[in-house]
Amino acid sequence: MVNELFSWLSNSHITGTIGIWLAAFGTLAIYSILYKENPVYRLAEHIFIGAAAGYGVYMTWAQILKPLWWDKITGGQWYWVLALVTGSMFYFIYSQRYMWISRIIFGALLGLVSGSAFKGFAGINIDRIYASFKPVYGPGMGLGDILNNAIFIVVLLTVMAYFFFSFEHRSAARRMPSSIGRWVLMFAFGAIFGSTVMARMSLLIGRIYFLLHDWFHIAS
Amino acid sequence: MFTGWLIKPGAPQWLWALGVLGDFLIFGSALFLLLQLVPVRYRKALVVIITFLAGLIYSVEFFVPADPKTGKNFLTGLIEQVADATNVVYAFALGLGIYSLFRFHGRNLARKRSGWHNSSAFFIAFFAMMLAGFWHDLRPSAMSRNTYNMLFDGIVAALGATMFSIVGFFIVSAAYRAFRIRSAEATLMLTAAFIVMLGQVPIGAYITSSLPTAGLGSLFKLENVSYWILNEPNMAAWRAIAFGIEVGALAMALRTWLSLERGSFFEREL
Amino acid sequence: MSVFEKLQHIDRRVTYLLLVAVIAAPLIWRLRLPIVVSPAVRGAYDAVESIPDDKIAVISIFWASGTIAENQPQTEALVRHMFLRDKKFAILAFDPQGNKFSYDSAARISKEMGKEYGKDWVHWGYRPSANFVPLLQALPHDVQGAIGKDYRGTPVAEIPMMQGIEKIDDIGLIAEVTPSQTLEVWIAFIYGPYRTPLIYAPTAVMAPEGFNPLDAGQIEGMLIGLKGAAEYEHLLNRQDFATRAAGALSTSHILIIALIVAGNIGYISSRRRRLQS
Repeated sequence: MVNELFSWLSNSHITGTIGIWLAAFGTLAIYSILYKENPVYRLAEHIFIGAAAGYGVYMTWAQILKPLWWDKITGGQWYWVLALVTGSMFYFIYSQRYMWISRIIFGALLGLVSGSAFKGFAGINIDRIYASFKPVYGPGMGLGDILNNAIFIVVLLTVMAYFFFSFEHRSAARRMPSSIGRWVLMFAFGAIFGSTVMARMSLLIGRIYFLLHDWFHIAS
Repeated sequence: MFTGWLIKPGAPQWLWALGVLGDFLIFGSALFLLLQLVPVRYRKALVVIITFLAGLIYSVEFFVPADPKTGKNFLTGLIEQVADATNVVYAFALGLGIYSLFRFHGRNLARKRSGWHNSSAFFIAFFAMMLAGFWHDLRPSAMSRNTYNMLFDGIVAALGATMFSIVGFFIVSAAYRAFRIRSAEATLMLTAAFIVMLGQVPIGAYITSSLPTAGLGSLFKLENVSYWILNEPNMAAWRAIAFGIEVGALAMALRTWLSLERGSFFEREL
Repeated sequence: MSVFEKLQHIDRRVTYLLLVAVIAAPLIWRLRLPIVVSPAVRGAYDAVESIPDDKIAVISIFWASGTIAENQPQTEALVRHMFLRDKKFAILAFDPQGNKFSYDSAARISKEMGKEYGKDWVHWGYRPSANFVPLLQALPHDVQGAIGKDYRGTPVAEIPMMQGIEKIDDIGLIAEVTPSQTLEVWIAFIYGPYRTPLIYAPTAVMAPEGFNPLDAGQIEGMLIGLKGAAEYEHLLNRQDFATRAAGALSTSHILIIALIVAGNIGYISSRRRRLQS
């Protein structure tokens, strides 16, 4: 009888349609905050947090813990139980008395990542330092290349001067480069704002497209 | 113990679960008791030593030259095992976030605070999505697959996308209200923003489509000006900023590795 | 208050409605505008074309539902291109939601293009983002050992297309599709020491930072947000979601510029009136 009651779940067309309607109502519920704060928005927000957290738990088990930990234990590698012992040390953070035990595992993981900083720094910056030595003049260089490289050098040095706080910006020789750097930064921030606008609009277009195309079936 | 000697591969899953629990209790208790034996004044030193030793693995592996034939040194094999172990250990840390959420919403529900019905919706959604996922995994069928996809697409995917898309409205409102040409710097910023905004979308290419595609005239096509702004002055500014950030990050990493950093985590008495 | 001064006091809900209208209109009545391919996207396209036949590509997924509108079209364009040119690839997800999104997208496109899981593509599954650095440290020396099992729980050593894929030299390209600053980690631990080609597909907000490694030669190319995906689709002679959204991107940008100009007209007007009085 239960199977008959839920037999419609076997029909992907029905569940797909329900999914679209759930998504559409959820979308409009979230957008209702644009008018004003309301209980419908709060409810939708809590439902999302719950579902995302539940999905995270399932995915962590299905994709990490089961294949990379549980299957190893049941396959005979018993010492992987120690990973559970180590992982449980995180939870001592909730105890006032034994919180220091959690600091051991946090410290180990922090140390692990910090130790890779040397390799990381070298890997990222050596190429960039090398690429920053651009020729202002050389054989085969057109006017555009010369101007671009000159602008690059001026911008790089003045922006670095702007952020150099080890000496006070007292003398004109010290103030001028950082002043130019500030102007250049304003220019760069404008460009960043332009890109940010495109990013946010893209996300909004995605949702509106869903409402028009998948729900209302009126978008091309 | 149980999982090593008493329970063999092929045993039912529930037996393995009991075995793992038993081993966890044994090893966990042993470790806990061992740590309790550490005098209070040596606890911080223990944390510092473990932090240092953990960081030593990667830093020594980087500095020790590799064998030209194999490309490895004596620590490279350990690094692979570390990655395997940390994969699993980090996964167990997920429970910290879940526990915090449960504690917060559980208290709301238990004490019937204002908004408790939202907390109950949180729990319903949490268990519905999680159980749908496990159902789909353990008893795959059309029913379980459709339920899982329905809940994921209808709730997780849709509401997540919508949450982030709201910022689009706010950015329009904020830009309209706040972007004023009060100074020369603000005007410069606005000019760059307009050029990049138009140049990065097809309408910008359309506006200057009458200009030639090659030669001096092409330099003034909006998409070319926009790309030049991003690829030249913006790139140079970002390189300068990035150098500063990288040096600062290296210094911070070194201080963290050597436990020289200040702050509540590091200075708090153990 | 004059008409011009009122221009800086438009109700925010009116601006929201205008925004929805200018986005919806080109989605309903298709607005066709020229798509010009930027050098950054061309570089990414050429990098995929240049993947050696005896190597695989890796598409790294860091995105979730929040940035699906930008990152999913980028992912799908890359997947389609690789299928079109018979380049084998693996997907590796560092986000649980992105894990499912990327698998579903690749599975749908592979079915459409007659490709087979395990032979033409593979999904390496989800790994916690906190383990990103340790995983990238281990991957170059033993790809199969570092990954372990794929999305379906199969040991990667048993997957046909993974035969012979053992070290970083067997990977011909890495494409990072991400809404955050994760490219630096690939550059630090993979490109820096091993010179594996990288391409970057960030959301538009992260794109300005991407020009730094592009100039230094650390990445071959970049897909800048949804527009980058549209340019990539143009190179593939396709008109998927990104191309359709390009018109709406244009109209929304025009609206924002118009509102900023209107606000400034109102501001200048009221400042002039204050100075006169």
